[in-house]
Amino acid sequence: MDSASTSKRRSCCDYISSMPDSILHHILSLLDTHEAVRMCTLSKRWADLWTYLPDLTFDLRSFKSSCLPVLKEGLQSYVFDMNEGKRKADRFVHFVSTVLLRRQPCNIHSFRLDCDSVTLSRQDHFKAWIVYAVQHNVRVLHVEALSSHSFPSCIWACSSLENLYLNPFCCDLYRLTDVNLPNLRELHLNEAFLDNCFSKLLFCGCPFLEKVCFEDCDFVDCDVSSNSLKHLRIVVDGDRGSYYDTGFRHNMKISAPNLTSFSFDGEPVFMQQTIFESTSSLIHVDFRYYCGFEEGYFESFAAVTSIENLVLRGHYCDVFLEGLLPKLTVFDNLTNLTIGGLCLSCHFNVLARFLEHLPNLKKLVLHHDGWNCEMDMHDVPTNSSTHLLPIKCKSLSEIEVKYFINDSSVKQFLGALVDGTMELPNIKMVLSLRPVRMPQQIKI
Amino acid sequence: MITLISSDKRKFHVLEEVANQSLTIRDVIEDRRGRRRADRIILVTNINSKIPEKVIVYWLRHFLMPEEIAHASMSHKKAEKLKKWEAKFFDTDIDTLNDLILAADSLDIPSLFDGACEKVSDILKNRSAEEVGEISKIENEFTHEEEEEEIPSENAWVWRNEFA
Repeated sequence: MDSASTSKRRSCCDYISSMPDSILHHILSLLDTHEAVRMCTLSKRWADLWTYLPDLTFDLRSFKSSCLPVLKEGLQSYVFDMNEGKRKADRFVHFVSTVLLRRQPCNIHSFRLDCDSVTLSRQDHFKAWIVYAVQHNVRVLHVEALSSHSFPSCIWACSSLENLYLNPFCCDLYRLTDVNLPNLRELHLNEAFLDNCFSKLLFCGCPFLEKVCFEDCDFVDCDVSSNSLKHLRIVVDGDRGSYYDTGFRHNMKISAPNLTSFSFDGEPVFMQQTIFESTSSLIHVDFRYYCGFEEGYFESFAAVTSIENLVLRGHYCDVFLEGLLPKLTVFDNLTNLTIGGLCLSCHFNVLARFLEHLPNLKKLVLHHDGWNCEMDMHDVPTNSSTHLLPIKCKSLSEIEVKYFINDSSVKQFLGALVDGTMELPNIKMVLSLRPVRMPQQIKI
Repeated sequence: MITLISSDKRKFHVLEEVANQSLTIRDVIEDRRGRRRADRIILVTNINSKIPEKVIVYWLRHFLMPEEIAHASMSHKKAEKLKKWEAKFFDTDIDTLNDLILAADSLDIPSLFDGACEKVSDILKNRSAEEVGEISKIENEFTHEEEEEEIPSENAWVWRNEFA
């Protein structure tokens, strides 16, 4: 560099370097670690900054993209070079290990590792990184890997851990005898096998666990009993067709007195039975189910009368309501209800009968899915021929109907709704359009 | 109404409810509650007048929808709008961003601090060290020899990973 440009640089104020270390650490933490480390060549001020970074993020994908020349759209980009992938993985392993080796031995706040696209050649490295993070009192551990990588069991005795995300979760469970995570608040597990033994260990060992998400897990006699648990979310991907034949009967028992929200998104074939036991604080429930619940499910669900907000969305909502109705007593506290996934003109009476059990309902949101049953429109009872039940919720003040613009069957339903709410004078009706559903694009 | 005074002696009159978004100012107000009006002047010494203007604009925008922010029930549209507005707000040169960060740090305004830090990190992202040096006018005080030999050899592993 010539002297002129150097002096020009000197004359400007170098604001960013004058900031305190803690702020620079914060900024560097927002970058991927390989980018943060690269800044060490900026100046002497920056040379050692990265070695004190409390937040480490290693992402194999972003790592790759900065190494590879960006390929333009075209066939070329689909050619997958096996050796190239392996070389990249090797470089990644080398990089992560070097960073961990050369950084100062200060505590790690968050450790994020994302290497789910390529199998790492060295399993022992992967385990060693996790052990390193645990030894440096990691608080947020977020790992995405391939299922071939198994986690060291020391994770389950990491007393500093507050937030744990493992995707997928693979661990030699049969050797696991104790879980001790006294500070864990949030847990997210993917593809875990939650049997009675492990679920008991897990919830006993995490006395302050508040938020749990299980994604694509297998539940076999899963026992969720926790005094601290507030939010439980279960997601089952419908694409897991191959798991249909596992022969497990998926069931779960929830006894969490402080649980306030429960959401279930997926096919009940992976959750044939859920028993709600002492869930007296449960207020928000969100179901995006398909069909196939067992009988006992409804009985248990109908007893959860503390619910204030209920969302029932997904296909075959009518089947669910029909199953639930005979068991239902009264949902006293329920004030907000959202229902979708059924043709409301066909199933108006089911809806009206369900609403009879909700005396304190204030707001009702209806997602009309008329296209679901257009094929059997011919035997849909018309308003004149069948008797439509009135809606009897005295405190109902607002009804919102959402529908697709190309759905003509909504008119019939609206007519029925106006007739059904004749006796409720002070009601506000809102009509809104749903975004038109596009056919899913197939990825090549 | 409280008055903020910047390092170049400009005065800014702000509603107390608006300025409350700074946890530092909120604490000061709480400490001085019940005293005379003259006490409700707060010196913000380490900040020049350009920054308080920006900070107050930020406060006002967020003050308009305080409840929605407190409860995550903000509707999708409003969230999008606010996001767009913030993107525009932070679209400024790196020096202003650094000042904003320092101001947000000393006044303890978490959302402003995080937003500005994120923007700075976006600027650093996908750039080589030389480019970053140019943008943020970082003075490279490495000697010629250091630059040619020591730094590359010491940090060879960084480069090997990228270009090998």
